[in-house]
Amino acid sequence: MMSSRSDEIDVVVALEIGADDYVTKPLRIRELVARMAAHLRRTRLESVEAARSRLEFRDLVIDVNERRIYKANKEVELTHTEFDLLTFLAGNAGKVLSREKILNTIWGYEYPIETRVIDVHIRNLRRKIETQPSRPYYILAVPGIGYRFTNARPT
Amino acid sequence: MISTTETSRKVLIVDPDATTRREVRAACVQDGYQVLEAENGAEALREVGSAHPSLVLLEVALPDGSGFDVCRELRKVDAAVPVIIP
Repeated sequence: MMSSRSDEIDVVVALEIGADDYVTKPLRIRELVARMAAHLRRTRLESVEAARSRLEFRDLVIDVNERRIYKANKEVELTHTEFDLLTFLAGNAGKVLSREKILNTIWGYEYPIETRVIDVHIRNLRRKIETQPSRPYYILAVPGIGYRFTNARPT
Repeated sequence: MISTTETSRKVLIVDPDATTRREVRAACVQDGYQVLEAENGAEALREVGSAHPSLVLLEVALPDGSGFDVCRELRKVDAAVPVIIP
């Protein structure tokens, strides 16, 4: 873990290829272990308390209990963090969520963390669930604040 | 706080540097995790496929290639396991 290559490009690349998180140099072991605990705690909580079992939107279905996503009836593979992020956004459909709120909920850190982490994960998510990622229908940016998931539901 | 659930959590440390692995292992064990280790990407992929860790700590600079490539391959084996890389 913990390579010396923690420049910005590497961080973005790391998140784009499916990593959930990164830790910059110099490595602080206690911070690393705290972050690990946050990820694992999230996994454990999710396994016992899936609030709503199924969220459905236009051509997108989120099966919370099974942790599966379907786009136009075809399953889409998401990373752990992508799934959590999407479920949080979709579970609050129509509400504006600030980057800070998203960070605290999904990553759960008290450590300062760059908000670009969210932006990269959002970009990955859009590539997977949007028909036109450059003109997103589901995950909308709210300039200067964060993101909002569409509140449009199937009729 | 260490719970019994925590002790069943397996962490895979992927790093060619034995000192780093030892330090991270010590902290993980102290917090009640089971620890698996891999020195390179090939070992890491084998461990993910066979031991199913709960979380992977993945160094980018590996002797047999980039940790980025390993992460991509790892996602084919386990799409959901949390991966932390620098």
